[in-house]
Amino acid sequence: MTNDVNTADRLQPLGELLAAYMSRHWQQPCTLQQILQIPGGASRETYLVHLVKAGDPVGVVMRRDPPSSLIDTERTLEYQTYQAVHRHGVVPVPEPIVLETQPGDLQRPFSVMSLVSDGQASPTAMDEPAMQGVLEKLGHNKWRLLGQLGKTPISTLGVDAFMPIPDHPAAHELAYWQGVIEQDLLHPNPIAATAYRWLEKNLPPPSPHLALVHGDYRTGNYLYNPQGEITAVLDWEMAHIGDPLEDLAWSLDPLWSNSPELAGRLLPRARALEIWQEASGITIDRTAFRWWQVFASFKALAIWISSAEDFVNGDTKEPILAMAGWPMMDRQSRILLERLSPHGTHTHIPPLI
Amino acid sequence: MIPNPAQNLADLAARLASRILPELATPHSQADVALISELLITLSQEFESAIEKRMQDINDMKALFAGATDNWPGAGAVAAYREKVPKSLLLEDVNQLHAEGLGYLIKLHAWAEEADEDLHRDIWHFLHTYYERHQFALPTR
Repeated sequence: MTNDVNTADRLQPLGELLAAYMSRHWQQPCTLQQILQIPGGASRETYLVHLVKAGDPVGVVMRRDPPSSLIDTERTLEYQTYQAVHRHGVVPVPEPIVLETQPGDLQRPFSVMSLVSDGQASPTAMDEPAMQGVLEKLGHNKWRLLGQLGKTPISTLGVDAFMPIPDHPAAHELAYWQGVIEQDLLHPNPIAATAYRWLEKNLPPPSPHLALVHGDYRTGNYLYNPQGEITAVLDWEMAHIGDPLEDLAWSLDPLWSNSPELAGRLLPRARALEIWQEASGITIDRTAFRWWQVFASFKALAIWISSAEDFVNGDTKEPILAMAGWPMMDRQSRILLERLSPHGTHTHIPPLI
Repeated sequence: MIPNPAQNLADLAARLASRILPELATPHSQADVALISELLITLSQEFESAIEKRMQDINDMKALFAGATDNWPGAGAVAAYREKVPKSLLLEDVNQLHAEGLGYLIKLHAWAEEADEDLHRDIWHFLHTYYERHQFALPTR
């Protein structure tokens, strides 16, 4: 098993440095048992690390900045969000253990969280026969948790202590993501430009409800088990205060499903909305929700445009960036085309709901 | 000389997925190679037709621009664009003319939305053709 040896050789020093750091943090002896890099996640390097702390096994997940680092506030904000959500318990998240903002021994800033061993994130594993009997339950849990998050006041979570509160969430988000497109676009994208004009013209009024928005609540960003339970919601790096309809619309984007009928590969889209409404106590304003659905595809397109730029001009050359910036951008563009065009046929992409 | 590089890229992608990937020891390496294999398929599709598709786009846009009336402030610029050809058939040169045309198209579309219903409809038809033309054939995951 040459590959095992090579992988261990490559990651072993990093794991030992982390073990030494955690010994100091916990003020207890800590040694490395095993370190593995987890696939996916272009914005951070993610490692599963098995340590032995004072003789007891402890699993942690380390998320380290890539060489081309995000700005400090995003990293800190993500960690503070984990702390707030974990403290309140509205949604299950891994327990945050430590945030190190200095490059130090591990060369780049990083955070450490507890390992949630019950569950997996793979979207395609949902298609396996063993999961078919629990998809309805998993879907129910997915949109129930999101509804609960939308219902919880930001002051109760305490996120208003470290996150800005936008006057007009829709306008704020639109301006931010249009800025990303303008900065990173490598080649003109006519549907992105068309979508921006539509979103600008049809901007909804300021949101009547403010909530903590996860920002990337989708299949693949939560852990689920074979019983159909969600054991952890992950990847809060785009979290912000905003309109809870933003997360709902994002979770329903056709890109996250292999079937036009199903939301997030799980259950019919109308059923997802019912569950969310019941859990949040919020009646969906269909005009505003239509805007947020178009915005979800626009924001996704902005992320894929940014990924393409990062792949071409950045240092890491992660294949996931090229995948996002090429085939995924292609599919997202066609989703927006179908949704905005007066000639859309909706053969493969469902209409706005 | 290998006369069919697109097929060769697809063959290499298949070899990566079928022979190399199963022998890799870590999920991270497996995921990387699976993605690279899919990207090679994407590249093979793009390799074969990149110039042809962009030239079709350019010609379609030139035809659309012919329908832009003098009322549009950019009419002079697109009249000049209609006379242009790429400096060469190297992808870099074709891309340059393609990007210039798309820039005009975006401006014309914004104007036609408010001012010219027929042109607006024609631009939407072009956009359908454009995105269909550039669509990759990859399995849905």
